Amino acid sequence: MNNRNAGSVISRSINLLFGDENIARWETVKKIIRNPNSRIGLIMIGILTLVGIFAPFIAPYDPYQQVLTESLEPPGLSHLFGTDLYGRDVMSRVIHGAWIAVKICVIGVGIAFIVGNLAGALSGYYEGWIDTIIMRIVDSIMAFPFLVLVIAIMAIFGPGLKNLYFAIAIVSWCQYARIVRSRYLSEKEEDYVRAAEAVGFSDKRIIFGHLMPNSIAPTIVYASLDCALVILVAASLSFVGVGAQPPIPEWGAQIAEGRQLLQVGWWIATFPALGIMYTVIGFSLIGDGLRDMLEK
Amino acid sequence: MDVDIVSDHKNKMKEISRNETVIEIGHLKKYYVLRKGFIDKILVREQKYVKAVDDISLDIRRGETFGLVGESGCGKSTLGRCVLRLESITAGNIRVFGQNIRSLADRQLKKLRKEVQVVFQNPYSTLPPHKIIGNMLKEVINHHEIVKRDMIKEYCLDLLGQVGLSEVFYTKKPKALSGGQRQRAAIARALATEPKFIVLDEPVTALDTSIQAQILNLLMELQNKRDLTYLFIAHDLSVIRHVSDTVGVMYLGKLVELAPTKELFQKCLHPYTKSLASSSPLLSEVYRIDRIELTGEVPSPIDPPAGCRFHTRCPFSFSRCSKEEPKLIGPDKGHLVSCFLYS
Amino acid sequence: MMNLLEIKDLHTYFEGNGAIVKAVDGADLSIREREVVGLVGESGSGKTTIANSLLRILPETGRIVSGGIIFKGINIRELSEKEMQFKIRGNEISMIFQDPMVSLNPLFTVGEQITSVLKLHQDIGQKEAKTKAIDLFRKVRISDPEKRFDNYPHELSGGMIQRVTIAMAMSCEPSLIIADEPTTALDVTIANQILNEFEELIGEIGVSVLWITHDLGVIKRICDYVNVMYAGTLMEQGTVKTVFENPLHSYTFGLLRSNVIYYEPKGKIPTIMGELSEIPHQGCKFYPRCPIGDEGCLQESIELRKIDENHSIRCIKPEDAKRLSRSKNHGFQGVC
Repeated sequence: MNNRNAGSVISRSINLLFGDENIARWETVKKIIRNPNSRIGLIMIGILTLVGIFAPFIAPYDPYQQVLTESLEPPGLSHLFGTDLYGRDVMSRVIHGAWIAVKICVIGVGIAFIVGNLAGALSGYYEGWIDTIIMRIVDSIMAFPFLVLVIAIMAIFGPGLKNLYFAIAIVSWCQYARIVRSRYLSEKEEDYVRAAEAVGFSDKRIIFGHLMPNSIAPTIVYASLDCALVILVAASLSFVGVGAQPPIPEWGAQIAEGRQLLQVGWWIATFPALGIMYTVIGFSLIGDGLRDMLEK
Repeated sequence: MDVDIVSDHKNKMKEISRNETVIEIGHLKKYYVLRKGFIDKILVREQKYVKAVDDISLDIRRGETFGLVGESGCGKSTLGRCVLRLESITAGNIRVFGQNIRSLADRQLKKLRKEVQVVFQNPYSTLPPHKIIGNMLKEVINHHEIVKRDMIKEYCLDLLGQVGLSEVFYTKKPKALSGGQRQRAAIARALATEPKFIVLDEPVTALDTSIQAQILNLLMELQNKRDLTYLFIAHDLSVIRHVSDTVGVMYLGKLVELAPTKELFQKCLHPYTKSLASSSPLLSEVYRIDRIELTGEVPSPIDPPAGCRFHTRCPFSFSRCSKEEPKLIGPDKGHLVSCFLYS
Repeated sequence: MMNLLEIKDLHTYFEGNGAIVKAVDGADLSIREREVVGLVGESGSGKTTIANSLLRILPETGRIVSGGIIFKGINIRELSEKEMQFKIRGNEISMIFQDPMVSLNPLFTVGEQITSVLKLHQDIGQKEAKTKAIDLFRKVRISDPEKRFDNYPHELSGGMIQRVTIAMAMSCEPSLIIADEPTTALDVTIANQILNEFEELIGEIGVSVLWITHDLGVIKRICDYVNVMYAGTLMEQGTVKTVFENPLHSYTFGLLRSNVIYYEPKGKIPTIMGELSEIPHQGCKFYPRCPIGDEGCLQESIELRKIDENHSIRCIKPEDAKRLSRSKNHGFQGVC
């Protein structure tokens, strides 16, 4: 009861601040927060993001500083997660890795999300030759297994984090384009779109103002699940050596480094692996929660 | 005394303007190209068309309601969309307020969009689902710059009031509205641009009986108050009878009968119109229209029957009907029918 | 004469998100042998839920809370799911749905679908079932039944499909057919044909029908008896003649009144004000929209009362309603 009162007080004050229109939007946000899955997921990813942003302040040591005298120390009071072969603090490296994970999601998935939504919108709204061109490009990209194509692109542009973001974006926008296109194809037949045309709104306005808000939900759900996937792909690439290069504290690269030392130092590979697991679970929970909320 | 003169003058002006034709449709054709399959392309088969609207001419005068009636698939909605210029025109002309809408510059098109509006059938898909009613109206009003920005909310609330919705609906999303309320909101949107002509595409078909009557009352009241011209599309003759001044009956893309409403019901001529009237027992009783039961189904508009398109279902058809196409001609002035029984 | 079906004070509620929706909240109706009974009401009045309760095919969130459904002396609520499936559904009571396009499975020919029903309920082989199916097709006036037998639903028009569903409903010679707005989705001339044929057909085979619709015209045309629902509650029932000529509930009166056909073209149509939205917790559910209601209507729950042999209403002021229906100034004014 109290909770509900607080909610209505907040929505009323939002109303006072921003006008009546935003109540509806606030209702959606409230729904998402109320869902246990997305709430836990949001908290987990929120923590990850904060840790990433404030990594330089949280991390006890410099992730790049080698102290050869403290090589391969097991987890203890001075180094909570232990140290690696070169005496670098594993905990600091994992914390700095969080920032890289966040960047991969924001940049890689972000570009794919925007490009995919635009391409799908054009394709679905106009059909005809635009649709043919975009969809054939999509088809040819999706003809290759995801990982193989990313590795191929990385091999052409050379390894490194920047290229990794773009390689991921180039490959993963296709799914978004397909989802959005199919939504547009059905949604644009609805009467409210006809009515918008009859009022004289421009194509741009109909696409972005009327169709997009009604077809973006499934891509948001997909994006949160895609984040989980992309983290794994990035880690795999770094693991096989075409992604982030040492000494960058990327989680996949750290696992690769720790792999040979599993017998003498299990902690070197384990903690970055836990980081990956945490992130993947977080995003998956958000995705599940959003799906429950938005796709009903 | 003065008042009398003024109102007299007004009536006279109204009378004059009433005879003015505002919508003029001449030999309108709308064909949809049927997509060819791969094999058709190889064999260079003939291109097929769906002849949704096939050579239709009609005039709509200022202030009147033109009722267009027919079964689903007869092309009545397509005709409405052509007038709205939501569809391209295959052949023929449509003049809206003297302007040929086949080729329009951007500015003229914007003017047309302001003057001609539409209300659709399905109340559940006609409103943008993510927008509150107020924002939906505001967007339309801003686009056509109907009122100054600081007056806009009052204008919206006034609009809602005119269609019988209270202020609380301003912040409601379509989800929270019942069918009738949604249709009222759709009417408010159509009125927002202060149009002179509204296409009503089955506006009450999807509503409950008691709500239907409410919406019909509202539409007629608005017409009187704002001097609107309507193109009222429906499949229900009793609704058409109630609202229209002139009725056009469509069958498979053709106009089969065209007459002033009173005339049409008192002297119903075309067998198809009679069969439509027969489906409402009360209607055929009141107007003493012979009841005609049809057999068979509506043929496909891709390959419509040769000659009179109705001859496959017509109980009176004779050999001439399948060979020649009847013209839409009038036994009386103003009452046109396309049937060999009357020529 | 014994009643074939008797529903007594039925309550069916839906639960979801912590809220209870009383879809059917007090419905009484009876159907005698060879009788066509109409059930009329606006969308949301619970008429389809009654049909679903009868066949016990409610969605998971719905349940019959109280009331009795007695069919041929058997209480349907007490039957096991298996008995329902093999003895009642399709066999004794069958149903025709509103939307012809979704009531058949698009993956099978109409012939396969009807023969599978026949084989399920009657112990016959494929060959016999086929001749029987074609016979049925002929009965429901499907032209060229042998050819149609091998058609898929998408190859047939809406009217044809509705005929096929009627044939399927009749296939096992049920005692009762529930027709849930079978002509609403069809074109007027096609609906007209089907109505005529259906009328003939039920006379021929002597089955009872519960015809659900929102269209009073259809009721007047084919029913003997009519039940008027509002907000899940039965408001008025009686023979079509008495109810149409002398409606005593102000809702029925308003519905009959709001048909455009009674009025001069362009004239104002008297309507029932407002919409089905706010329903009082106690007393008469129609009170917010009723032109003759007063505080007394909200005091207590109102019982269905018999006015005479063939006429009952759920209203405490039948005299006022009678006066209303006679007076010219009937108090029904639109909100617009």
